[in-house]
Amino acid sequence: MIEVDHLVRTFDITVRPPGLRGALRSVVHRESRTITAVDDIGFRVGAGEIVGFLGPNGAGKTTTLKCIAGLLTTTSGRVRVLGYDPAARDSEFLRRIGFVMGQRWQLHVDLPVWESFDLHRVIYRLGKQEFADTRDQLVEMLGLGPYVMQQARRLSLGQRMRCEFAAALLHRPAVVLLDEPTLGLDFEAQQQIRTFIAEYVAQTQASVLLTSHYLRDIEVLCGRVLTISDGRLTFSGSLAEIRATAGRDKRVRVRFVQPLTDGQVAELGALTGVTVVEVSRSQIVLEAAPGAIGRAVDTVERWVAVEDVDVAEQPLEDALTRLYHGGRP
Amino acid sequence: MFGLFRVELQARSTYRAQIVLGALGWVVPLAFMALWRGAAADNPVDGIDQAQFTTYFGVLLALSNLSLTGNVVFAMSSRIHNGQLSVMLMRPMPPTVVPVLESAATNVFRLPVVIVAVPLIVILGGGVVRGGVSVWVTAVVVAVLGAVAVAYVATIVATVAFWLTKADGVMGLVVGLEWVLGGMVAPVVLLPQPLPTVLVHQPFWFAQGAPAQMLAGIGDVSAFGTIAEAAVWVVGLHLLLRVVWRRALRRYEAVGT
Repeated sequence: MIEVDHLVRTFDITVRPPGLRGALRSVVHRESRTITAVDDIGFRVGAGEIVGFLGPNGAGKTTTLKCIAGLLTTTSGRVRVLGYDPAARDSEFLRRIGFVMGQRWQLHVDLPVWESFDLHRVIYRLGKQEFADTRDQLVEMLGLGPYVMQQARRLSLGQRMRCEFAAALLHRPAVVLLDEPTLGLDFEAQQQIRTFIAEYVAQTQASVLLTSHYLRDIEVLCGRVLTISDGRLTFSGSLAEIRATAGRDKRVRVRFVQPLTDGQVAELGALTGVTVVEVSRSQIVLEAAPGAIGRAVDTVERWVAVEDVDVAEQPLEDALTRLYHGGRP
Repeated sequence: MFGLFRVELQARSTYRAQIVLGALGWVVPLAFMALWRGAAADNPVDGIDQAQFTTYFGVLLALSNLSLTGNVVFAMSSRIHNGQLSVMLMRPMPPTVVPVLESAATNVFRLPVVIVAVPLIVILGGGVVRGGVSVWVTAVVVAVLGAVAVAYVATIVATVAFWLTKADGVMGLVVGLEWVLGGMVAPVVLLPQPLPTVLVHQPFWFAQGAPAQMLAGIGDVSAFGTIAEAAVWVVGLHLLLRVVWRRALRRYEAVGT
């Protein structure tokens, strides 16, 4: 459904020395340089698949999405979506793709949401019955009933995003691009959006490419993850594979009643397979190999009364950060 | 397209204060009407008398209130500049028609002024409409073709925003050109040669000056020739916009998303 091969996208940007002198000089002589936002990447997204697209800010995620949507032309390489060249903006292609852009309004701000939905019916030439069925279903799935008659500009961010989702999917696109769809939403709204995406894909077998800085979105929805850094793909695989790269060591958080002395902390750090990550008056965080966990906790218990022990996998963020910085797991 | 026009009409009916202010319309032709009526108080100016000036600027008052130029050029260029064009590009319809329909919807609320105030001004000013039904029909056809041609010009100029980040000056220039080339400052026949010969072959004049001259009985405006020429402009500008738009989209950077 989405095929990207050797995609490259560059931008020319103007550069000038700082300060008034630099500004005035740039009026006469302008210098520019080319930056490569996306550098020779390739991947596939199949029908019914939700793929997470992760990377730090400025890595090239949104540029890639815009190339797939046909908003940006490619510098080189090949992009095919549902067999179409997106940049050609074939109207049949546009009828089968949906793009939720976190910062962009698709709803008409001056109209009640209901009327914006009707505008979509007109633009996408949807049959009245087909449109009414989909609209009613989306309104119910996303809980839009209480505010669908309100003017869009008067909605809260969470309400608006849910309405934007509905608007982007009214024509039942076969390919959906989601750029930070849960950005700035409260916990409940995030959860509602996630549930909705999963249900939509289960019903329609749509291909979804999702960027998000909220790892919970990716964990809940995505069977496969792509990571991009400095315009290059650094990983393609499952989240479990990324988690596995963190190694077998666990994060052990031990809470106690009275603080440990510096000497005791040093003694803990000297134990085989144990590394001290963080210390405060009421707790210590250790990175410990599976066989060393009990020994470490026993040691602390000999010194002070332990209130609570929490053993967890290493944070996914650590492994992702390594990927973001270019290293393969 | 009608669906989008209807929605834009609904959107514009939301703000009553804006409707009232908008309905007061564009009154600049009244100033030039007063000026030229004064000049012709004693004797006709190059054969144009006070009544003809009244009719001429009365028609211009109506047409300028229905002009699409300002809205089209500024709405399109700002969307290119701030990236809001992205939303339109994702829809299966030409993004270029949206500002045109928005402008047309805005102009609907100016119709009361055009329908009531303009005839009143012309009658009170002693204006007389020359010619019969055929002149009216010709004037309307020329005005519509001219308006379509000017909308194309405005859209083509707005595409400058794909190349220049700050292009407000260029956009303002179009509105200024409409004043001079359309005949709002003076009927083009009063301008020094060779301007009258040249200016009667461009879209701004077809949109405003030509129908006003026809109804005021100023100069000798060929009905068939003017319609044919305006139609050729529409076709030519349509083809030009297609080429320019295709090239311009390659420059689009879809900022802000």
